Amino acid sequence: MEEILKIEDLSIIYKTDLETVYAVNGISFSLKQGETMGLVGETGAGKTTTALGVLGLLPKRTARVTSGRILFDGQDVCRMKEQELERVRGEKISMIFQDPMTALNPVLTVGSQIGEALYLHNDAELSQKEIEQRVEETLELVGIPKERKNEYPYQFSGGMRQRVVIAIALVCNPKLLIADEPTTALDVTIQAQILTMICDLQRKYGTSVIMITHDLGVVAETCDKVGIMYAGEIVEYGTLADIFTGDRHHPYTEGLFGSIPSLTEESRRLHPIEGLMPDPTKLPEGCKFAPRCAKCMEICKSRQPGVWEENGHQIRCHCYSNPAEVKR
Amino acid sequence: MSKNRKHTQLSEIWRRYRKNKTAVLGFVLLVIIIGTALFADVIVPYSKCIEQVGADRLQGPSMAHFFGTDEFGRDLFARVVHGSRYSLMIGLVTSLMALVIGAVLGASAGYFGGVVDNVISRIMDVFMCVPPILLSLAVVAALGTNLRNLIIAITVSCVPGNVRLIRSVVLTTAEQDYVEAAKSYGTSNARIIFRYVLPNAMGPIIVNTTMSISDMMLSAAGLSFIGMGIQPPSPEWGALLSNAQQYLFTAPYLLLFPGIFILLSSLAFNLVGDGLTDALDPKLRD
Repeated sequence: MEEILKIEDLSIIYKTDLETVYAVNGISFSLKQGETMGLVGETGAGKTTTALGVLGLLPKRTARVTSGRILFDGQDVCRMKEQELERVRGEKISMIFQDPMTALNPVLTVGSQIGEALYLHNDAELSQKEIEQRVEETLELVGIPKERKNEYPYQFSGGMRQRVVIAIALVCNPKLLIADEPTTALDVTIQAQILTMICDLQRKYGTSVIMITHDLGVVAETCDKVGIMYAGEIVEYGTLADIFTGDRHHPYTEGLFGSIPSLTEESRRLHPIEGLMPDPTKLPEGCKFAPRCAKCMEICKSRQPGVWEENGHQIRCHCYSNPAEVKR
Repeated sequence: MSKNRKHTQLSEIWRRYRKNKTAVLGFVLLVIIIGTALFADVIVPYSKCIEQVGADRLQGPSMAHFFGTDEFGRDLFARVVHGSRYSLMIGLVTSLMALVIGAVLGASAGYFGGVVDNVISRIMDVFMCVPPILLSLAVVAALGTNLRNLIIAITVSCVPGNVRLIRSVVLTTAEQDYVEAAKSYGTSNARIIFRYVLPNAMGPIIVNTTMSISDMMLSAAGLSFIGMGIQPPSPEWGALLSNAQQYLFTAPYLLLFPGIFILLSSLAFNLVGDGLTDALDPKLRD
């Protein structure tokens, strides 16, 4: 299958006069058509920064891409001009935002907000009427009666608004959909509905999805591939099976799973990962996870681990990497 | 359906506005004053304003001349009624122009930030150092005294305040997620400013504009009073006051009536502005 998105050694920093935040540090992954990739990690791990980078929406005043490339359909997003980017955004790549309560413009009807992307990327020269029709179809698709298209966002509940946000993201049939914690702001019953809907629509249209989340349950339900992010690095990357059932894991992944209550095993306490994420302005010299790692060795404190790889399952840890391979 | 929604939103605002009795009083006053300006010719013909009757000089109020007559025997009532046209026109036109200029400059400054913001804001700071009335005076002195230049002068003095206000509301609105979302589906900057940012920042802007109409009328009256505004024989309210000062002790009504009208209209706009502040605030939706 065709590769839609390829990220190579991407690093992004936020630089202000006072400090430099190393938000993303040399991540690489690729995504084929129709695949879903989960990006999992704690708050501040650099998931959203990666997503914004793909859209070319990093805040211009502070953010810099210091190395790497983001190839979308073979074109480097970082080198595109603003006008080219405007053509890609919404039409080919679109994003579902985290909080449906704030992601909709309160003064426009939901119908006109869904139609906005169609109107902006009107290459097929649809008439006003055809746009209206597409809007109605898309609304029905996400399970909202089309009669409600002339209502304003405040007349919808949270779950319904998230459906509207998804409708906006889907209306142009994008090749790549970035879902930034699409269910975090919703209650559990609605979460399942929304996820099922995203998956159904994805299967129907062959869209590739980057699912950003900190919920491993969501990943298990929806993703083909998973990248576990920590302090701006992908510490473990593999198929869903590699991550959930494989026998080799990054200590951080083990920690993540240890923090989830299990239904099958009897355990009296959860095992949270001790400590906090390192300050992204002063990252540790060696392995970024070393200060919190139960398996921390001497070498971890001074040298960055290389990547151990087996059948596409990658782990960035000294426990596995063959010392000869330790380059970076 | 669409019309219906719009309609209910408007009636919602009106319902909240109606609760505020003083705001309704202001609204009634405003309707009367605008009505007077619109139907001035029906109420009393313009010829009455300039017709000089030697026998009727400086008459007190009577049935023949409701507000009395001035030193040339012109009917003050007719002059006040027709004067409302000048005053209202100046107030509305200058506020509208200042709004448009302020919106474009303020929104660009707030939305783009950086160099654009710095250049616009520093220039406005310079303008703000000069007291508004002096600024207007300087513009009129440079361009010459006539109605057009008066309007330009007053607009110029009002723009910096508008730019600051609009910049600050745009700054907060531009941070909202829906603006980011709009960017994510490829909306251009201009479209974001006019469809996403400004409409959401409209509440404080509308309120400020209604309030500023009365300020504009007062500065027009002030400039006319010192002879830099509307020139005689045109019956502008400030010009009427200016004339009247010589007869302060012999014919105080000459001062009283235009004064009351200036006061009432400026009060009306202020009350309406106050009422709108509450009616447009979505947080007070009940």
